[in-house]
Amino acid sequence: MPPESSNAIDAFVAEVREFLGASATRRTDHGAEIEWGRGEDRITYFSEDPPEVDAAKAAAAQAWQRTRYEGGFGWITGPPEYGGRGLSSVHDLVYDGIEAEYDVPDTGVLSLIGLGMIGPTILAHGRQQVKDRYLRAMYRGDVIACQLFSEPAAGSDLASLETRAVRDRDAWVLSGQKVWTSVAHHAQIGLALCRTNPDAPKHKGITAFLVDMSAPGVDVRPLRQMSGGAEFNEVFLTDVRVADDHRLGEVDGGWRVALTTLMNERASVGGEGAGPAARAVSLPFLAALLRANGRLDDPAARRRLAELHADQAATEYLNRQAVRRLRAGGQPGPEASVSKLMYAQNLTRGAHFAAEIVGPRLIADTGEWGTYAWNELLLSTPALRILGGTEEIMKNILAERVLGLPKEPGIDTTSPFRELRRSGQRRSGQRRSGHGRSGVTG
Amino acid sequence: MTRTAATHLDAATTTLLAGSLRALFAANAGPDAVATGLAELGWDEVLAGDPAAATTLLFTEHGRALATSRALDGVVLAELAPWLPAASGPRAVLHPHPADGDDLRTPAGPLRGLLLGALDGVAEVVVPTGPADAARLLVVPAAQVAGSAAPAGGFDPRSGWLAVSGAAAAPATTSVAAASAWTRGLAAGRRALAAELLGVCEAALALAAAHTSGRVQYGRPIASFQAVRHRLAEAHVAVEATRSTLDAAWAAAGAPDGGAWAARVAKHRAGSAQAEVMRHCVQVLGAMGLSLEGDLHRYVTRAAALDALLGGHLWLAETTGTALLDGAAVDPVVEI
Repeated sequence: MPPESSNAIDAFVAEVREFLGASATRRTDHGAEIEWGRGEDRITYFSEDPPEVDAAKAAAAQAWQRTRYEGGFGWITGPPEYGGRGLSSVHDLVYDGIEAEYDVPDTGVLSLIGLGMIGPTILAHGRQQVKDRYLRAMYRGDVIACQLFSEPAAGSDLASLETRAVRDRDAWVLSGQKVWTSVAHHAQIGLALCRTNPDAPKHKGITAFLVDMSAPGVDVRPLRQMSGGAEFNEVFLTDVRVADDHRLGEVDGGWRVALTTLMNERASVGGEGAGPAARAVSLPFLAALLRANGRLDDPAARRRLAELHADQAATEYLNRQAVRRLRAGGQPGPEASVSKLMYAQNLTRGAHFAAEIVGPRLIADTGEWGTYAWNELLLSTPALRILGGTEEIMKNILAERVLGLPKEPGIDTTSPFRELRRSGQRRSGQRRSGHGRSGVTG
Repeated sequence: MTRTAATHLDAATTTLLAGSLRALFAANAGPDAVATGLAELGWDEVLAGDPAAATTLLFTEHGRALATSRALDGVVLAELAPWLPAASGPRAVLHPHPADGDDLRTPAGPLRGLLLGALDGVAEVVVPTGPADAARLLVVPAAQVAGSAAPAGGFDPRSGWLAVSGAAAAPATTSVAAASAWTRGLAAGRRALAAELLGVCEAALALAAAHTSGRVQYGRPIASFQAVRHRLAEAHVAVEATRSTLDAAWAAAGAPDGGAWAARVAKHRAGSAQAEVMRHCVQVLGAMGLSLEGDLHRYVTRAAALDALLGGHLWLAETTGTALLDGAAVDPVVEI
């Protein structure tokens, strides 16, 4: 950073400390030694709270985001006309670093999807009235946003989505089913991708809309995971009316909008760091696990611990550099796929490492602290290798865009969408009348 | 280390320098030609201006070209020099023998280790001796070492390295207590080797990408099969993880111990990356990856040899794990 700005940073640090000192209490466990056998015996990745606790945590997140906003830290890098501070990436990093010393509510319910992905998408593609109406409200904590992208028949191949949007005067009527929708049960708005032109090639007949999640015809149902959590949902859209001014981007230009969201998603998933899972696979915690299980002298365990350490250090530094580039105005690139793969790999290897140490006590709950608790993380890690783009898709991206390898032949990007074979459809080359629901399950 | 805008290597200068280095290494004229070529490039000035970028660039290109030189000695000696008496002429380093890990020989014991090349034109050999936490540096006349040096052979016959196994240094040998110097020298050497391994891995990956993009089976380039392209994508992730730990190691290099821990992590990650990258590359090249007519075997053997120098990845993993369990103060990731 140029020397003339270091005074400005010092002033910002003082401002942040003053704000946090007045609004929050310092963590007592920050940087503290691991005390094996004390504290809550749970290692969660996804929220596994009963609905009332889940709702209370979301409310606490919203309240804290409002406090941040009122203190001038709700959207540090955002444009001032939408409630942002218009400051640099460095300020944002500085704020995060200092806030980590304080005991404040986890705001992931707002930030991971809404503020991290949907907000930048609205800023880039929304019309003036939509930006005015939602951006400030989102970064003030009033509005939680979700991403209505995946469908039962459109997962990795997102562009084959079937939810329809049909124009009706100055509005659109949306019908279809979305799935794997994080935080939909808390959300006030959702960014929905819909098929608006089935006669165009699949990427060229999609339009993006901002949907009011309380509108008639929106039905959110939880999906329970094998880990016990229910963070994802199915969202059914039945003749949901959306005003045309809530369209993002051009009619049939929704794929461009989606790419903005998806690149921010990879950056966001790969860049996660805090939480009980990160603490559980941290070196001090795993070392305590080995000590408690009498495995300090196991050379294989030592080697794996060092490997985890090296990969965690690599991922952390990679993320810091990526965040720095992003917040300095760069676009997320294929390197976000590297971060995403490494992040999932680190948590997966950490969970497997622990599973091997605790052995059968992972399966049978013996009541012993720090043993059965690992099962939640172990059963959650497969989701990390799927959500935000599967590992197979990430590797394809790296193969084509970074290594320059040839594309897979036979992937049809030019035929009209209605002529493509889709999941759940019979192979006989039959054509559908219209672009109906035959591919949709559930 | 302070970087300023005036000396920081920008993209254009880096590209230019990389081209010059490639030409220099491609000539394959031996260690002395490399030293002369670097002097002609004004390398010392480049290095002084931006040590991190310059060192990484030099060793990445060194690795990519499978070059042999005593460039690594220069990196290590730059850290050791302040502790040593004035040199009577060019110096080389007797690196610890890979089979010994970090266990340095005692000052009185027989000389044992690796030289990166013949000692023609070298006046003195600097020998780190143990124990590691109280290292002493011996400065031995080159002639005393040359007699017991023989081609190291082993996995990579093209390394040009010499193994030394001989009599104890003469009693009159200069010996200085320099534990912190050796810690810093080792850290600097490990950063350089991590960069060299990066270069070898990148070159092998480029070879594999080119081969699999051109080789057609079942009517399509084999790189279009996910079973093949995903291996190469995984290799790329390993390379990027290494690059990240190396960047972090340079960010920590200004610490009083020379960023020893972060340098150890970077060398460890580079070593495990080469194992993974080479495994994938050998597989996707099919039988061409095994044949001496192809080039891939050169990268495989060089990467393994470089991994073994200054701590192989398996050995580093175990000792790092031990240090972690003993409560080693892990460097926090440096703010960037």
